Amino acid sequence: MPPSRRYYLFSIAAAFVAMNCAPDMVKTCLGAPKIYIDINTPAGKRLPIAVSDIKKLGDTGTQSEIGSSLRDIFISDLDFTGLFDVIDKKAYIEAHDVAGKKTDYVEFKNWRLIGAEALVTGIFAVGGDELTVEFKLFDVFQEKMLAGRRYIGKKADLRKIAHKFADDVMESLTGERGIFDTRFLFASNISGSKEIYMSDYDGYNTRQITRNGSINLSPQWSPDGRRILYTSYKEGQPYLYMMELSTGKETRLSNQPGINIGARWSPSGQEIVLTLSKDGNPELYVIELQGMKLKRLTNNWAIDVSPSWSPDGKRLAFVSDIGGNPHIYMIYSDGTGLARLTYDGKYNAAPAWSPRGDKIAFARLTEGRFDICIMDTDGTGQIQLTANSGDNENPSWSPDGRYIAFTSTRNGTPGIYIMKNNGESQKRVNMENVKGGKTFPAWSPYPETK
Amino acid sequence: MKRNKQSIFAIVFILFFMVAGCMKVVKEEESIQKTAEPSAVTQPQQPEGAEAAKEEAVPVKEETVAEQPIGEEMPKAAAALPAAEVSEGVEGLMVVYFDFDRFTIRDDMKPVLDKNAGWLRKNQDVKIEIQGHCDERGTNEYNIALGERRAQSIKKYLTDSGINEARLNTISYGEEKPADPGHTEDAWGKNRRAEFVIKR
Repeated sequence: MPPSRRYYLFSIAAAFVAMNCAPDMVKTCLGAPKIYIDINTPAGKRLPIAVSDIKKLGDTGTQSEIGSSLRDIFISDLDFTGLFDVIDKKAYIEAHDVAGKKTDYVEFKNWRLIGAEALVTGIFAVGGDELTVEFKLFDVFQEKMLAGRRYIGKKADLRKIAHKFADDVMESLTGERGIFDTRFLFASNISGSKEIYMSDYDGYNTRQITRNGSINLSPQWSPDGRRILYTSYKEGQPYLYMMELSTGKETRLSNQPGINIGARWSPSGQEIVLTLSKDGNPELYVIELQGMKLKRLTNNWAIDVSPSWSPDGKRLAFVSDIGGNPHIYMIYSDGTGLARLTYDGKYNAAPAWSPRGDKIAFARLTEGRFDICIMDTDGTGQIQLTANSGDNENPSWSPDGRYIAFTSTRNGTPGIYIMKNNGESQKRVNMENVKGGKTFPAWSPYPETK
Repeated sequence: MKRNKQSIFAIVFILFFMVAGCMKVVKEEESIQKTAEPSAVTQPQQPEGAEAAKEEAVPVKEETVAEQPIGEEMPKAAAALPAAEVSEGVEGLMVVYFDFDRFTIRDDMKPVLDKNAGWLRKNQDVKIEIQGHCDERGTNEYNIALGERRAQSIKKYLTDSGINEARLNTISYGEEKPADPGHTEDAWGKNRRAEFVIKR
């Protein structure tokens, strides 16, 4: 990513890209080298953007329910980033004399007049249960299209379609892929039992994954996002299970005597690290999925739990009380090079290695409360991100490394919260139709593209 | 630590008789008598096979009380059962409590465990499950590991007391099954515990 000036400098480069795009394009014209918003500048000015009504194909009249839903979801995604100033619809100047013009005709000067520098338009068509949506992103000053894409799906995919285009807009304007089409796994004790649920990143489209009436914990994604790992007491003892999300097929992966907990998939997808107590006390082991071979990583008298792989799969951060209290340690994935990372406080736990590889988030007990902290991977540069807001635990990074999801009791019942990786913009994710305490947020990897 | 336990055991054995009058123990004995009463009342009503019924009735009752169906709404169900009463269902086996982030047996809990060992010696046919629990502070995963170590500590203590290891199973529930759903020091103290469930 090139270093850039502040934002929105509409350039020849953008125009150049747009030239290669046919008006009714199906493919995206991405790859513009121009960066409109530098998301690495913490307090950069917001980009004024207008989002016109998403109209039904051939219909120039009032906006339909589908259109306004698509628009609302898209705007909510933009708002989430804090990078955009979405101009109020009331200010929009209707293009007069639209007779004979196509539904998606754009009168650019009307948008320039209200200060918009970027514009998103959209049209949709419904055929039975099928929904087709075409979104376009324009540079208002250059009067050029920066991105456009047509989505064909079911009506039930409406939210996903809006999220996907928001991802495209982010990539066009910032050079980095958005996280709007990502999901959460989490556990909720909604019915007394603790079951695993899934939701979109914004808390919608919740779906119950386990239904065994038992205690289910520590959900984790496979690197391709197709399978999940979790520990369940459904057979009595805490054993490790895997589920293929598309089929719901469940496989028991580990039923060693004692505990089988805190499993995490390696970045390569070939191995799973977890804690087993079969040899006397909780130790870290690696399961090689090919052949299900078991390799022991730690060998000490203490508790070793909650491993987190570095993105290159070479190292693991984990929690051990070998020093008397739980602290964060690091070990190479071949079991060598044990090093202690934290010394402050009497309880440091739940390490989560960032997707960029440069930071480790964790939870620390300070003055009777748990707070989320981050540090460099050598244990230096520790920064506390939450404060005076109940207990905050179980950090999980967004796949772009810009956000951290975590559990907080700041409003009483534990809930899932999101913040920027510098601690700003902490807010609750309201999980649609899932009541009760929610824990163990696990942010999905990026969805696979095609 | 292992060495400590063995040497302490002898002292604890003596201590047991000295502390036998402690309030907790008395309370437990009372509660056991209370539970015995209803079954005595119902037995005469049983027609012929009264003896067979008597043999069956006791273990069934134990299981229904000792079982903690996780499908139920837990915090409320648990709230109705103060820690002392939880052990009532499993006769002479009393709850053992722990300090925060510790799995070593507290000195004040050793007489309790010795009494449990005595009960297990008297009831040789009984197998038990030792359930390790934690308070809500700290991460769920660390707490499952800690609960495991608490259950293992108890198991070690009991085997050192001469109880056959084959009779002792362990399980950890971490912080998932609090005895008291509160968020106070008092509630946490009740939740850092090992419970005993009779398995046939």
